[in-house]
Amino acid sequence: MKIGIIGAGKLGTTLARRAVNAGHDVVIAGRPGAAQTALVVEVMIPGATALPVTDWEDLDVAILAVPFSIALTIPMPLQPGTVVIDPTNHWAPVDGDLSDVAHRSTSEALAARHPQLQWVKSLNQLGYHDLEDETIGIAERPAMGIASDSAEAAHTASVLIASLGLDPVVIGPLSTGTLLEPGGPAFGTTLSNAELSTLLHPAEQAERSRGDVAEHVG
Amino acid sequence: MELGVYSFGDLGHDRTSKAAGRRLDALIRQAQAADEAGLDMFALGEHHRPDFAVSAPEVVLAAIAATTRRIRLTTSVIVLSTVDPVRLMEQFGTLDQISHGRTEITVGRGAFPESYSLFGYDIRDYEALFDENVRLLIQLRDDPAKPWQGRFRSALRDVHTGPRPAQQKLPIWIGVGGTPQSAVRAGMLGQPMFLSLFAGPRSGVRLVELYRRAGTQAGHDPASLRLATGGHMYVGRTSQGAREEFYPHYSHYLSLHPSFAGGMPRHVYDQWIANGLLVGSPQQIIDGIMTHRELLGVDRFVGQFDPGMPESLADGSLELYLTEVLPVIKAETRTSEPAATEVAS
Ligand SMILES: NC(=O)c1ccc[n+]([C@@H]2O[C@H](COP(=O)([O-])OP(=O)(O)OC[C@H]3O[C@@H](n4cnc5c(N)ncnc54)[C@H](OP(=O)(O)O)[C@@H]3O)[C@@H](O)[C@H]2O)c1
Repeated sequence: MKIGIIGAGKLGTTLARRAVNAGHDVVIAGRPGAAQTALVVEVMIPGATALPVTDWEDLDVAILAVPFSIALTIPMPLQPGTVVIDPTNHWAPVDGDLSDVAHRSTSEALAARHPQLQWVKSLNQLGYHDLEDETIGIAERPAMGIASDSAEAAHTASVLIASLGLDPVVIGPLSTGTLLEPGGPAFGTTLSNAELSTLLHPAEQAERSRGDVAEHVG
Repeated sequence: MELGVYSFGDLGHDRTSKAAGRRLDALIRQAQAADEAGLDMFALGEHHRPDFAVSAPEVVLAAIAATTRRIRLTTSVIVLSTVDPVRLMEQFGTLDQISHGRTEITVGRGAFPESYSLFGYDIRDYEALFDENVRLLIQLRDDPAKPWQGRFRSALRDVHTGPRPAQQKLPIWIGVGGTPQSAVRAGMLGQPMFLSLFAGPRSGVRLVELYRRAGTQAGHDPASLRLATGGHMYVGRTSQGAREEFYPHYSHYLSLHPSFAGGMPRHVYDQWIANGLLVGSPQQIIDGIMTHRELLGVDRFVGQFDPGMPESLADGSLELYLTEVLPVIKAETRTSEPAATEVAS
């Protein structure tokens, strides 16, 4: 697949390395005008290409690996319909308190700003140290929840995530992304597919009985 | 190789001002013990939260400076995005005089948001603030009379900052927590880098290469690109005993982090130890620190000696570190000491 990653920080470089190792074609964009991105990519992610977002072509998936407050403000000059995975966590230490995400998923806030893209909440639940672990995908495949309003986008994200050595679990529409975010039951722990599914089950039931959950996608 | 300890003076469950007072007394006493045992570094980092006793590390370090003789004093870290570099230089110039040239400053972007609203900054500027302030701080050290114009503070022209430090060049270390761009900046600035590693030294290999490449590309002498690592540490008498004694305190301590809001799961703890978190017998800690040296070529290791621990447990761990780890690391690294670790004082 051709993967484009915005943000060459801790998470972006770790995901890029896993994606290159999985045989994907990876382009990565740092902060526009940041001269150091080329060196970061050369040393941290041999095999990936540093390229500004405006020069990306024929992407299968984009990943937006920047702090959430920045994700809210940057332009997204991607082909309409591009599948974008949002791994951001709204964490006050970095983002400050933002009213945009009161009681909703970061991905819903991003989707409201860029409705022409197909948004997927995922890759946010584990720390970059966990994702760096070389035994992932060999000894164990940690579960990774996926929330999206588009079945097609959820599928594309699942294929990518499985290739990274993780076990994709599609949990529902974008609004269920909060279950995967800080404060949600699936955030921050390495779980198996079965454990994640059971953990989310009661929460899903509760949401469903309140009638806030639309059609499940998977 | 140099060895040190650092602390934030975290308070655990008792957050009264009495408890904070006791914690500060203990830190001063522990620094004296470290000094007497010949430890190289004692460091304190600022937090502005009810669960930490150290918000003004320079004040506590001044008390330590007055009652110690050889140990060098630094921060771990100063959140440089939210302090005025002019004020900082004056404080640490003063501290360097009081300590007779034993002072350093370690600056970073910080891990918590409180200082931004407390001191009137916008957290969204955290990166730009840090970048501007670190350049000003270095200029104030190297060329204090040079005029300054920046984005976040009033311009400086014909100003006096003093007292000047006792050392000709007060060391300024750049604290890095894992963001590649921060390692590049430390290298480009040609300043020593303090890298905190919570999941073992392996995750630092590429960052250290990035730091050294950026530094040499910018034309800095490789000998000026000194490297220190740090992380959480607990030394117990036995391997299994250490794991059990430390776990409940560490789990509670890490519940500060959103990933571990309910405490740290035991299997994650065991995995971190397998990856190199320094929890174990003195011999295991020695091996762990030597792995930092072998994989990363560090000149200095500084461990957080008391995260989440009651005073007696921290004292026990510190004593083992001073009596059983320090002499062995000193002996093992004496012959292979890189020339760059000589510190002018
Ligand atoms: N770290 C983790 O373990 C983890 C895990 C799960 C999810 N996440 C999420 O992933 C996101 C990134 O976190 P991180 O830990 O990787 O943070 P980070 O290390 O600070 O990296 C963020 C990166 O974004 C870059 N950036 C800033 N503005 C940009 C722009 N306009 N265009 C492109 N890049 C830009 C920054 O570059 P400069 O340094 O030049 O500003 C920096 O390299 C966050 O939303 C976080 O919540 C992180």
